[in-house]
Amino acid sequence: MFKFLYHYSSLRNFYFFSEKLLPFLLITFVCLVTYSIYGALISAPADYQQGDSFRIIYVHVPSAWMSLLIYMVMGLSSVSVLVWKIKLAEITLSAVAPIGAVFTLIALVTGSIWGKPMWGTWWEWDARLTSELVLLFLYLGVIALLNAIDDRRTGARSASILCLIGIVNIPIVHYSVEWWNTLHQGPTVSKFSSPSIHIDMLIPLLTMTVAFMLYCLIISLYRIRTMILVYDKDSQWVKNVITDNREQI
Amino acid sequence: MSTDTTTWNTLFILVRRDVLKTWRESADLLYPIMFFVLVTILFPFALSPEILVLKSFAGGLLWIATLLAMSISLENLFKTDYSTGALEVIVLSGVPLLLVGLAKAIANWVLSGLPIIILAIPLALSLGIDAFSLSILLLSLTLGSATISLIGTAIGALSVGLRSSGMLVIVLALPFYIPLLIFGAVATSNSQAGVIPEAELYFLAGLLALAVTLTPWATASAIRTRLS
Amino acid sequence: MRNSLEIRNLSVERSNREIIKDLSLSLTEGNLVHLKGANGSGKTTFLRALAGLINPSQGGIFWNESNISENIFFQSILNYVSHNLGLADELTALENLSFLRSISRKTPNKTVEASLDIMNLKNFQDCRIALLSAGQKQRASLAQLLMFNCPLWLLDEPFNSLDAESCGVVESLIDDHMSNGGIAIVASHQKFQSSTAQHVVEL
Repeated sequence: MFKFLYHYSSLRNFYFFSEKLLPFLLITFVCLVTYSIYGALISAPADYQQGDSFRIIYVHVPSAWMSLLIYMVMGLSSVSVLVWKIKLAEITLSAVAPIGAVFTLIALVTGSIWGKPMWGTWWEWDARLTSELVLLFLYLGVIALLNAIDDRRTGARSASILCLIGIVNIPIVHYSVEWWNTLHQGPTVSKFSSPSIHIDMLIPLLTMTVAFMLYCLIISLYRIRTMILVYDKDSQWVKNVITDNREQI
Repeated sequence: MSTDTTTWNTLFILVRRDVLKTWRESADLLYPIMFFVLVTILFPFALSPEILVLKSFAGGLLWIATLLAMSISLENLFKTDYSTGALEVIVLSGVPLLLVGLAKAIANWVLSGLPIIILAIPLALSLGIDAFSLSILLLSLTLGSATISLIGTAIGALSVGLRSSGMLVIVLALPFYIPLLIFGAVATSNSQAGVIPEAELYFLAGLLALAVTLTPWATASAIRTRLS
Repeated sequence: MRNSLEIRNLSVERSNREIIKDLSLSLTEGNLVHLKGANGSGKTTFLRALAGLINPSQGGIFWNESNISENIFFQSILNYVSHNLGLADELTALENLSFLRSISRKTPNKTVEASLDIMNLKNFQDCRIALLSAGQKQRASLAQLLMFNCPLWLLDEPFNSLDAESCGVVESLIDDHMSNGGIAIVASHQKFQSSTAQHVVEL
């Protein structure tokens, strides 16, 4: 198991392994996303209260989940950076941070757009949206710290420490915001308040989430692969890769 | 037993040095405190001089002023020790970095948390807070400011010596203070309604316990990273 | 057993650039190294790696056959005086050094007062570091060498801003250290006198 991990955490091996993996991921993603869009926009029935405007959950909910998932990935990378000093984890951390920030932003914007018909305002200090907003600032903090340090290894280590402080804080922020929210406003209309979501609505939501995950994975892999080339730019294998590509063109 | 006493002794020596150092460089000591008072007295101009209006905002307002003032005090915590190389010498002396991290946090609390809590008394009274709520406010500020110092020290260590570290440290640290702000401000406003805010104070104490156990590790590894 | 310092195929990376490449060096008691090189050639980086502050990207540093990155007590055997001096401006020389002596895990040697006296700073020991001249600061920092009993000395430009007399004091300190079976690595752009032979390493 460890031998396996060690093998694929070497930058060169990961580069070639991910090259083989990417086509499969792309095909699966295209199939899933086509099906999910069809399911979300056509086969799912309109909500009896919200009409068609509820369909924004097919973007909002997966984005919100991605924003948390990517932070968890960053947390795992941080542990690998600090404990095992794995270069691939350093690269992963800086590669996925902006992706996570963008999905947090998408979740916020779609949540706000959805809020307009639901609450009548663009922004409501709802617990979920507020903690999502705090999460955005945690992402921006990690990105700011990564950018402020020129040396990429110390930069990755510093960002890892910040990221782990963030991991401990996310649940605390989340529950304190929720508690604050119920205290000030009484229970708000939670987006999952309807206990039984119709199965035709649920299935596209789940497939859409998987599609979002695949999308994140694909984009991350592209970013990581580019960063690997920059990181190892002086080594022979990178030079070979670049000359090979040039010949193909 | 003897190792226990040397550990406490070392911690005491580390704290005393930092306090003495900042005491001599009085600007580092005074600016955050002046900032705290200034921010607080700005609110009546913005909101209303009516004591009834101010009273309802007093808790939250003093809490925000505390967060901001303590955040700006963070930059100086490691700055001169980093630029003079003293931090490096301390690390190379072989003293456990956990102790250094803890000592820096204690020194920060003594130098900015404690004066702020003391100054909060006249300021709170001028905002119309009654005696019972004042005691709750001071208790919540004591628990909260200690946690702020601990978290802030870790963030301060992470950003020392970086470009525009003064702003960076504030931007990095403030999101982590939100839970403290929630519990602290709510504790005060509840006490003004005549309720003893046990739950909120327990939460603040719990967060302090969590911070004491975890942040010195973060500070220690941040110091090591920034020096490498 | 004789103390030994061995540097095996050391490479150190700074800001994504390899500054020290594949350097090997083996030293035992009584060995004095004069580290030479132009500005930015990596003298300080090399010393900081030896002090365990920077992790090497390749290779390792071994003290008595054990890798320093795995030895948490390594710091207690070395005395590193950086060109940054490492003294707080707001405190006096006496306060700075007493503080270091009381927290340090290194074996103590001379008292702070005696060390400062040898460095001709007795009359200035209660002055804040900020008020001292550059040469006096350098001497206050070098007093650390006398306070502790460390077999390995890493000196980064110890003769910076010192007058001829103080240079002589530092040279005799290094001589004493060598004759007591110490190991010293001195980074300096200028020549210095020593009774033991100097291994010159050019970076």
